Amino acid sequence: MDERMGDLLIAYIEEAKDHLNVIETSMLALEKEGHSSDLIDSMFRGIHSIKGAAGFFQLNTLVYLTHHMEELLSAAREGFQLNEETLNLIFKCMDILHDMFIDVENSDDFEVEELVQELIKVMSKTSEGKQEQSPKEIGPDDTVDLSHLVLNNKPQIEELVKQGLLAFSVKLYPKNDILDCSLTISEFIDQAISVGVIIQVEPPSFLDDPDKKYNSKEEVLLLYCTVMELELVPLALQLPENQIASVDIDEFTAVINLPIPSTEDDEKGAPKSNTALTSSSRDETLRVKVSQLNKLVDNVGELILSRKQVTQALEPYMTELPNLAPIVKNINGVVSDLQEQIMNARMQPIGSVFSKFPRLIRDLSRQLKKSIELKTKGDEIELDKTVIEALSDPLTHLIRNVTDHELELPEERVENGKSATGTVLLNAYHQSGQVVVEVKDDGRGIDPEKIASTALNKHICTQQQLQHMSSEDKIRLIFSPGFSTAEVVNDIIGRGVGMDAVKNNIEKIGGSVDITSSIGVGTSVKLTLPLTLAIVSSLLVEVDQQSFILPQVNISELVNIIATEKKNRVEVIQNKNILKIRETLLPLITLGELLELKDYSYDLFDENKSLQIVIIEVDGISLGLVVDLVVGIEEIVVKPIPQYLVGIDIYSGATILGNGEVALILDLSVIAKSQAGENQAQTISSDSKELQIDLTSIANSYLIFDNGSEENFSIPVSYIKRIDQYEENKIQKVGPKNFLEVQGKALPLIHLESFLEIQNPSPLDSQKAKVLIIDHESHFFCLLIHNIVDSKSMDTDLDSSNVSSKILEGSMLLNDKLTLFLNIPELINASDGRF
Amino acid sequence: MKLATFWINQSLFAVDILLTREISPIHQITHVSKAPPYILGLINLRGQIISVVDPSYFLHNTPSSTNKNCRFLIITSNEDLKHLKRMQLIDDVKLGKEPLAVKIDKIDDVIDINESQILPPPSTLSGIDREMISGVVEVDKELIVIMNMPKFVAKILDAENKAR
Repeated sequence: MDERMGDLLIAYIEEAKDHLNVIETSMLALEKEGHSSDLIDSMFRGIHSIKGAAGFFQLNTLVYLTHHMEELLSAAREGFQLNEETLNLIFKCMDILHDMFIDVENSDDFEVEELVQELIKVMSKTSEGKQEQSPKEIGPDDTVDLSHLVLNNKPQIEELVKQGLLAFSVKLYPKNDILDCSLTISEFIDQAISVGVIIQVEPPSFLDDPDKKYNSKEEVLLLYCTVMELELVPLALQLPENQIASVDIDEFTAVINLPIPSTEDDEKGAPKSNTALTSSSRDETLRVKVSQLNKLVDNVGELILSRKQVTQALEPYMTELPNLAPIVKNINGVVSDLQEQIMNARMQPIGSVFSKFPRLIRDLSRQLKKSIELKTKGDEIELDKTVIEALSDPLTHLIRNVTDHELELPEERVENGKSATGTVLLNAYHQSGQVVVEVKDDGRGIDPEKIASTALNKHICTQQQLQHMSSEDKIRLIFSPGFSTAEVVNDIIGRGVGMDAVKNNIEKIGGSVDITSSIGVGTSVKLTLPLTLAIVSSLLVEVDQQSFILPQVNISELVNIIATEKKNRVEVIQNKNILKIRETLLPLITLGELLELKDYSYDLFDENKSLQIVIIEVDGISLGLVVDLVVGIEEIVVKPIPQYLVGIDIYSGATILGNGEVALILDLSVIAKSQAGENQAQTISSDSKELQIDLTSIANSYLIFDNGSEENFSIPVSYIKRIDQYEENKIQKVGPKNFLEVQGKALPLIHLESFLEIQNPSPLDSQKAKVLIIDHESHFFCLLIHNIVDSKSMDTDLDSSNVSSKILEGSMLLNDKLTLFLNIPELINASDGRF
Repeated sequence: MKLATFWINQSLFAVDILLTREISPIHQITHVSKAPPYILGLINLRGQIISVVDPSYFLHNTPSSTNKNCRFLIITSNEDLKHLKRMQLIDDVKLGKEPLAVKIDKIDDVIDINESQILPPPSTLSGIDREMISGVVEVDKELIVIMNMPKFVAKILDAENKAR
C-alpha cells in the first residue's frame, strides 16, 4: 500500500471508530427507549459508511460482516423489531468490529462466519414479514423509472454492492453537462470509469459513438456503481446534485430528479435538523496529526524565547524610537495568543472517555445481575489529549470497582430502602484551574474501621498512627501501596484491587486522588487533573550551577535552615543524615550526590551556609532533598527525554528554560523509592523553631494570624520572608525601639498594638508567639504576632468601609471571624517615624 | 554523491550529506549525569531537545576535547528520511526517531564524489572501529573515512538498550 493510501486508511480507521461509537450509543439508547426509527437510522448510516470505505480498501471480511449487519438494520428500518437477542448479536458484531479496527491490516484473518450465519438466520425471519409489506411508493410524475435497467443488471449490481459499492442512477444532458463545459464525451466516460463502474447506459449510443452531437434537450441515463457516497458523486462527475440518485436494488426502482436535496434520499426518515447538523459539523473540523501539533507547540515555544531576546535587544532603543514600544507590545500579545490557541487545539472533551462506559456498565450489570444506571455530567469539559488518554484506565478501574463491590444487588437495595437501580455518576467540572472528575455512587459505602483493621493487619500503619486518624484518613488508607492485593478481594473491605494503581496513574499525569464515603449512602472518588500535561507548574532548583526541575505535585514544602540552626536540625544516625522537622525525622539527601554529579560534594555542616531543602512526598514516602539554591516556581513545557537517553529512569522529561538552556525534570517517585528501602521515617517528638509555608500558589495566599485581639489579621504571604519562633532574649532595646537579631542583622521589631487600638489584648504566650520577617522593596522588619491561625489561598473581597486606619486595607469575614488585612507599604510608612 | 567532511581527533571523516540536517555552532550543553560517557548532554536546537554524542568514543575509544572550532553535525531523523526515500534520493536506511547531534572538532568541506570512488577500508586503518565505516575515499591525496551513520546510530541505541 503506498504512502497516500496509508494516510487514507488511517483517516478511515479514525472515522470508523467514530462511527462505531455513534452506533453503540444509539444501540444503548435503543435498548433503553425501545424502537426508534431515528436511532436505527443512525446505526444504519454508521454501518453503511464503514462498509462503503472498507470496500474501497478491499477489506473483504469487514465488508462481508458489515454487509450483513446493514441488511439486518435495513430490515429494521422497514419495521422489523430488534429484540434483545438481536441486539446482543449486533453487540457481538460490534465487538469484533472494534477488534478489527485495532488491527485493520490483518482484519481478513478474523473469524466472522459464525456471526454472519446468525445474522442470516435472523434475516430469514425478517424476510417472511417483509413480503407482506406493501411495495414502496413510487415517486411523483417527475421521477423516472429505471427499474428495467436495474432488473437487467441485478446480479451484477448485487455483486458490486456486496463489495461495498453503491449504485446510482445518473441523468445526463450531454450538451449542457459535458460539451458546454469543454469536455468531450470520452473524457467524461474516462473520468467516470476511473472512480467507478458504468453498468449500463441508455441510449447505448452514448458510449458507442462519443462524437455524436446532442441538442440541449437530449438526455442520457447512466446506471453507475462506485464506492463514493451520494454527496461525492456529483463532485466527481461534475454534475448537478439533483441529477443523481441512489438506487435501492431491493426495490428495483430508482428515484430521479427529486426536488429535495439528494442526501435526504439516502437517509430516509432521518430528522432533517440532524442531517444538517452532521454535515455542517463535518465542514468545521479537520483532522490534524498530533505530531504536527506538537511541532507547532515547539515552534511557539521557540518563538516565545526569541520574543524575549528581541525585547531585550531592543530595550535601549525603546525611548529613541517612539513607535517601537507598541510594535513590541503587539508582538507580545499575538505570540501569547498563539500559544494559548495551540494549547487549546490539543484539548478534547472528556465525553470521549465517558462514552466508553455505558457499554461497560451494560455488560457488567448483566454479568453481576445488578441494575445499574450510569449518568454523566460535564461531558463537554476539555482536557489535553494526553490527559484524556491517561484517564481511561483509572476510570475503568474505578467503575469496575464500583459495580463489582460498591453497588448492592437489587434485593439488598430495596431492603435498605433504596431504589433497586444503583446509580453511578461520572461528573467532570472545573475547579480552580484544574479539572475534577468525580466517580460517585449510591452504594453501600466504605467502613473506615474495616479499612483500618486491614491496614493494621498488613502493617501499613501502626495502632498508634490509627489513633490519630480521622475516619476520612482511614478511608484514604485504601490508596496505600500494598493495601489491596489480589488476595484481599472485597470480602473484607468491600472494595476491589488496585486503588493504589489508580492513585499512581493519576499522580503520574500530575493529578491527585481523594475519596470520601459514608456507610449506606455511597462513595465518591475525586480525581483532580491538570488541564494539560504539556505545561506543568514546577520548582526550579540549582545544583552545581546546573538547573533541575522538580514537579510541584510531589513537593510538600520548602525548608530553609540557617547556618546556626543546623546543629539542632540535622543529625547523623547510622551514617545517614536525618532532618528533624516538627514531629518527625526525615532522611536528608543531597541532590548533587544522588545524581552523582562530577567533582561535587556538599558539606551539610558548613557553618557559613544555610541549608535549602525541598521536602518531597511520593507514595507515602517523605524525604528532604538538599539543593544549592531554590530558584522558584516556573510553568514549564514538558518534553520527553530524547531517545538516546531513555535508559536513565531518574529523569521523567526535559524542558527548555526561559534563557534557552535545557533542564532535566527529575522523577521524584524514582528518587523516593530508591531511598525508601534504606530509610524509614520514625515518629518522635522534636520542637520546631521554624514554621514552613505551604508552597502551593503563593500568588494569592494569605497568612492569617491572631494578635491577641478579637479580630484576626492577615497579610499576603508574598511579603513574608521567614517565620521565626519568638525568643525574648534575642530582643535588643534601643531607647523606645525594639530590635531583633536575625542572621546577624538587627531588624526593627514592631507590634501592631503600637499602630492600632486593640480591644482587650490577651497576654503574649511566648511558646506560641512568632516573628514574621517581612520584606518589602528591601525594607526589612519584624512583626511580632501572637499565633498563626491559618494560611489560605483565596481571592479577597475586602470591605474597606469600616476600617479606621491607613495601615488596614480592609476587612473580610473568614471562618466567621472578622479578619483585618494589613497594608504593608503603609505599615512601613507609619513605622518609619518610630524606628 | 555529496559528502560533508569534518575532523575528529586529527582524522578526516565524511558523511553522506543527505543524512545530515545542518551544522550548528556549539550550544550550551546541559550535562546529563548518570548518562553513558559518550553522551555529552542535551542541547536546545530551536526548541527541540537533542542529544549530543561524542563520536570519538566509538571511533577512537577516547573522549575528545572541546575548542572554538567545534560544531554539532545534526543527523536527521527517520521522519525526515521518509521524505528522501519517497523522492528516491536514498536507499532504505534507518536512523533514530529523533535527530542526533554529533560533536565534531572542525568542519572541512563538502565534496562531490562518484560512488565508484569509494574503496573498502584499508587493513592499515588502525585505531578506528571498522564497523562504523562504510569505506574510504581519496581526494587530493588525502584519505577520507566515510562514516556509516545508520550503523553509528544503531550502535548508540544498542548500547542504550543494553544499559537498560
